[in-house]
Amino acid sequence: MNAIEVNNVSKKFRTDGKEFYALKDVSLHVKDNEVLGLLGPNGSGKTTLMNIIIGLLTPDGGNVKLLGRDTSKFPEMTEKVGLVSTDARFHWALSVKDVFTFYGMVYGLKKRGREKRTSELVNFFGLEKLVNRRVDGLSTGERMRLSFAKALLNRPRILLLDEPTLGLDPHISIKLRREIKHINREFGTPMLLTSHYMSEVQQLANRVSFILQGRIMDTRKVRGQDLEKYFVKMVRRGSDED
Amino acid sequence: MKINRVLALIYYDILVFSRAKWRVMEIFYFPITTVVMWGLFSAYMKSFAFEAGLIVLVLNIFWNFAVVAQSNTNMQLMDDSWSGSIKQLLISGIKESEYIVARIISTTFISIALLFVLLAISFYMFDVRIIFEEFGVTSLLLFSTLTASVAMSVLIAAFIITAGKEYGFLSWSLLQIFILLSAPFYPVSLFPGWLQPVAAVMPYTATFQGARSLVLSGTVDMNALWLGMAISAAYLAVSFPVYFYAFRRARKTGYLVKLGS
Repeated sequence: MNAIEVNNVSKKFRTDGKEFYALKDVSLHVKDNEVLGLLGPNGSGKTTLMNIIIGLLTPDGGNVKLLGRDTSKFPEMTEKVGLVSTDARFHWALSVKDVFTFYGMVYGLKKRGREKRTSELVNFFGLEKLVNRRVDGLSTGERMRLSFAKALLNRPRILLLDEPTLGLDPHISIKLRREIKHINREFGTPMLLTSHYMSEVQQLANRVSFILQGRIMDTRKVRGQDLEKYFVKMVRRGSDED
Repeated sequence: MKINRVLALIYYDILVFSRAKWRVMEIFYFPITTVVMWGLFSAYMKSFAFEAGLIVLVLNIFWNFAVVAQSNTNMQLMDDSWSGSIKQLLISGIKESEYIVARIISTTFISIALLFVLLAISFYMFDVRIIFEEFGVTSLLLFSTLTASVAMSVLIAAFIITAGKEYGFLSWSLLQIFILLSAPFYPVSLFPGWLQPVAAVMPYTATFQGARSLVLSGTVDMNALWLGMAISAAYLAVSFPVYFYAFRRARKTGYLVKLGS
């Protein structure tokens, strides 16, 4: 069984009276234990696809299956997904500890279990000195680590990583990549990773799909690939087809 | 609907409310200063038009209660939108029903707290006793006001979700036209003939009429009061399907994503 299955998903938007396809007939799957990288330039449809998988957007056509179940029929399946994204924001008035307490309650964790899990994640992500700090006092990197920790609070079966290291300091990016690898190896959590950085995909993903103008151009194994060459080739192929 | 998620959201609202001092100011400052101002006016009017001053004061209490019971729910939605936290809330499994129900519950507590403050001010500073002497009927009038405001908050939330967050200003301004047409300080008969049927089905018309009659005669026409409650209940019955439709539509159009960006 695939962890994520996207079948012929299309999504149109209307801007300035004109309709355009953000996604056109997109199909891909993420196997159990696997990290699938999704490479594509800005505006290629990566985040739209993430939003559809997580249930914030409804596709115009096609369907998404999580752990074998169609999310249009079983919307609660999206609760098994954790999302880490650069635009992850929490209410500025809350402290780091409040974020863990609140989302722990949302996920139905009892007080003792919640505190234990919070302490594990705080240690794992090096947030010990920040627990009482308000969210508006965190740096981008610290906020990203909080977003990551929050996404893991309920031990999700699947992780979506939307540009997880975009705008972060190199040393924090390195640490986060290590953590992503560790989570995947340790718990076998399947992941869908979008990134601008080919080296990141090369380092973390087992397979890579290339998306351009809302269409999946190609999917292949990462090992042994020169992703930079591959990227340029795909962009060329995309403009030739236009 | 899962109770742990509703309780978590109420806890979240308490945290935000206690940390964001401007929210406390916004909810209590304006209604309190308004009621004090109109209380002083009613004290001044005592010598030549006692009931007129009292009507303005009592109706101001109802008005401010109605506004806060609606606007706080919508301001919470806008606060989640402006802070960008709405996306995190919605991807954490919180259903649209849990989201709005939790906000209605926390808003109800806040608006009742405000109501007690306003009633205490009117009693201790301006000797307004009628509300306490006729507590049963006043409670029904206030319950009808609360029901109408809850319905309005759900409808306004639906509109903002459908139209986009640039319409967030409606959170604190849209109710004004409904209050105007609900005839707070004057009878519906003062409106032009064509407007009177519209005014008759406004959410607060019967309640305001009941409150005026309570001040003037010490009694309320119970038939009119039940009609007012039925109108409030009708607004509430319509508001939830509209809200759920708005969410479904926003998921299709992408406005739900934009609301949190």
